[in-house]
Amino acid sequence: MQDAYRRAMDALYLACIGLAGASVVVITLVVPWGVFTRYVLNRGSAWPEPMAILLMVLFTFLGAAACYRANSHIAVDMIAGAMPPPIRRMLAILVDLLLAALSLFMVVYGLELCVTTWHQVIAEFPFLSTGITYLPLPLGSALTLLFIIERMWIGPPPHGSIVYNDSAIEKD
Amino acid sequence: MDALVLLGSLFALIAIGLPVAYALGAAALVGALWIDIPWEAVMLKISDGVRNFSLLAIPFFVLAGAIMAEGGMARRLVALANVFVGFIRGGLALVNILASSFFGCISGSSVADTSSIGSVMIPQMVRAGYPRVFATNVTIAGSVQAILIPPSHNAVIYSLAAGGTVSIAHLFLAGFLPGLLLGLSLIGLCIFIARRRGYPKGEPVPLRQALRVVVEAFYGLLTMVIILGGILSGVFTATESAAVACIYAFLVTMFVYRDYHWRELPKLIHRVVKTVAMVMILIGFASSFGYIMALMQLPAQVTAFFLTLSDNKYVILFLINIMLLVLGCLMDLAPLLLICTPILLPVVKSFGVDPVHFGMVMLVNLGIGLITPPVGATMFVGCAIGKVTIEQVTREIWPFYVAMLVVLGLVTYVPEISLFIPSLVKF
Amino acid sequence: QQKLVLKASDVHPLGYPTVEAIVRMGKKLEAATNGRLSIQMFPSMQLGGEKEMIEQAQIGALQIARISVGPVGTIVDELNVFNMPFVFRDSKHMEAVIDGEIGTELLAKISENPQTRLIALGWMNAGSRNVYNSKRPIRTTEDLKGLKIRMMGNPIFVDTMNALGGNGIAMGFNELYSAMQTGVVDGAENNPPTYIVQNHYQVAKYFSMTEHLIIPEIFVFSKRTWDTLSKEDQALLRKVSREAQTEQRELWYKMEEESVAKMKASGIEIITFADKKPFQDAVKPVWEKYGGKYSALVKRIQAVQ
Ligand code: NA
Ligand code: NA
Repeated sequence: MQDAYRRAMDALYLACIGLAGASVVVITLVVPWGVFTRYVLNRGSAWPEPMAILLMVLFTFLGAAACYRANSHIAVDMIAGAMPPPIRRMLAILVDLLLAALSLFMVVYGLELCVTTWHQVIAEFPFLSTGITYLPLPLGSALTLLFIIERMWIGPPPHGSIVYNDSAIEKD
Repeated sequence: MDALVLLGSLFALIAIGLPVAYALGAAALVGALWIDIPWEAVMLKISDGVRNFSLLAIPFFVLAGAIMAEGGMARRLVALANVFVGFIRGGLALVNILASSFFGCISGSSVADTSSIGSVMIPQMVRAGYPRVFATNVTIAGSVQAILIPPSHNAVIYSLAAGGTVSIAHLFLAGFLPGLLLGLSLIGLCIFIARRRGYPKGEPVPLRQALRVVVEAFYGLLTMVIILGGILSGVFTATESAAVACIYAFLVTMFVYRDYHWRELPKLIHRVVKTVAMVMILIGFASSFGYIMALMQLPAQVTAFFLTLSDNKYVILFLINIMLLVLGCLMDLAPLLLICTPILLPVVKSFGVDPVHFGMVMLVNLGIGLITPPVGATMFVGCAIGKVTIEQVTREIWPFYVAMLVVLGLVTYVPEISLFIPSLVKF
Repeated sequence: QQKLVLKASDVHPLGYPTVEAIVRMGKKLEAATNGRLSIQMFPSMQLGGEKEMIEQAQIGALQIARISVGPVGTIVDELNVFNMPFVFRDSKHMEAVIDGEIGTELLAKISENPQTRLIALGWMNAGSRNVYNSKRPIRTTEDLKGLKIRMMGNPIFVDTMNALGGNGIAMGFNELYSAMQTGVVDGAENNPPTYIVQNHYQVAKYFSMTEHLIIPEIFVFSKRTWDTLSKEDQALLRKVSREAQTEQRELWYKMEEESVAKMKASGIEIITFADKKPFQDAVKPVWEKYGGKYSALVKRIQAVQ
């Protein structure tokens, strides 16, 4: 059971990084395309800017979920570090519980926000509901929640997990 | 009372070890509950906080810097610096600092600077007989230049935290002289130390070889020319320039330098995603926190409070600097920029301080925070790369602090250092 | 009785006509209810841009927001008719329309549509938009050829500029000043007060009174909060809102006059037109592309004297 869950989280993590990485690559191409159309085609395109922004929103919330699993968010662990080990363990559990509660809030109230704004469209893409553009927030929070459950239930990703599979090859 | 609830819950949550980003969001929810604002509004702000075209510059600059740094750029910049200062006494220390000045022209991250320049320079310095701790200190102090010399994604974050009213192009130009001043003061310090301790000097580089080194490094340094030239000549906006720089960095690395492998790219993207998402989510949560602060009219209250302390601009700037230095010890650069700018900018503005100038004061100040214990991202990375402990580094770093505090004082009290170059360009 | 502080928001700074009108409305509310109802104003985008303001009002995080028709037009499509170029003959015509039957009807459409979650309180003047640029005086559509002019990010506006002969560039307002300065774009279009307040007159010296767009603005109230108010309070709000609509108009004209005086004093070349027909003819393709569905409403607008 634990193994299956771990494997599922590995797959989810990979999906987060994959989608977020693809978003970065796409916006890196789309924005210069806007410059290109302005000069070479002599006619500004309206879509690259808003599209890049929407991809960035998606990128942020998926990427942030992945950051939780890879433990790469900025935190101040000075006070916890100064405590004796039992208290340190309790603080770690408290932090994860708080994060889980916050993520749950973000899923619930983020969805509420989607519902409120569902019937209006965004000006730049009249076919796209404003509600949809708010979906990455509850989605990313739900993923974070799954990763928190993994950490509390099974523990942090083991040594050699894909989350650490990003170190640069030593050169020179 | 409002302030106590909001800031109190923020500091409590950060203190128990909640990631700073999430602490900002949770404190915003507590604040919203306190002043009776629906929680969906906090969600709205978290999401809309990252929905900003100027912010795209952050992933672009980080990506461009990563491609350049990992595509063998660091080695070439070190070689270039060696041509200019390697033959002086204490040469390798000076090479280290000058290489960081060059590195600042392609990256805005002092952590990236420390990890790439440090991994080339520290082993080289140790081999040449420099103490490991000294080599590490030179590296981390020098790397602070990266956040001042354009391009700097932290300048973009400041512009955003200032409500988008401060021009990014202005901030970029303003960073030149403070960055240079910092580099020069560190070089001065290193020459002084090298003389006293009798550190070695290198050989002058033969002309032919020097020319080759300059040409190779030139392609990388062209990144900043593209970015600044593009912005100033009006070919593209700051955000667009960052995207173009990415593509340029990629083309140079892949087709000119050719010492980077395609199969390395997924890992590079993986790293960039983690770095950037961490910053972006911080910006999103900070924007919800700033929203609750605005609803509580906190910045106005803080301004009023500072005005009760003194009506002298110089005293107020001094107090703000002390406060930021203390906070900089405890927290990282980006969150502090996001939390403090909306509070402090109205204060200094009421004294007639230029927002661009104040941006430089904050960047130099919080840049020092990156290399102060107990929380200093650049110091941590430097220690890991230099294979020394934080205690060892801290014990010997104080001359570097002195040099940097002198720079901070100059940048704070001589606004022309920041504002001279922007004033040359007719904006 | 419990005090209720209504939060109001605007992207403009204190003293701007739209902001001042709401501030004055708050004073009247306070006087009429002995301080039970009041308005707290958050100016200068303190709470975010228009899109965010609307959504905050829908959620009930703020109560009063002054917005362009654009963002509401995404829910109540008829409002978009005001985005059409040269839909009004001039400002007086526009005022006659919004003060009359059509104006009331459109406000009701917003308030009665449950999906908007907003109550529309009244209209506000935003002047007419005119083309300005740094290159040359625009007298004919020919003069616009090859000029990159920043437009608001709605396809109708970009197409309007393209039809007028220029190159419409969609770009955020924040980046506009430095974009004009460096020449990323050659000009923009807006009303005289914005042209002055945003210092655009320092970088774009040729101002042509094209009046190609005259788009009134709306101030709305959060329906979530509205439903908690008593009938009497609702009626009171309606009454002071109507007064605010008139008051804002006077403030607007005063500011417009001052801006034009400042433009003249700063040596801006102001080009006026005796006949705008060539410009009106040029935007026919825009009407063909977007105007069809509004034809009945447009007929009624044109009939208003
Ligand atoms: Na830099
Ligand atoms: Na620090």
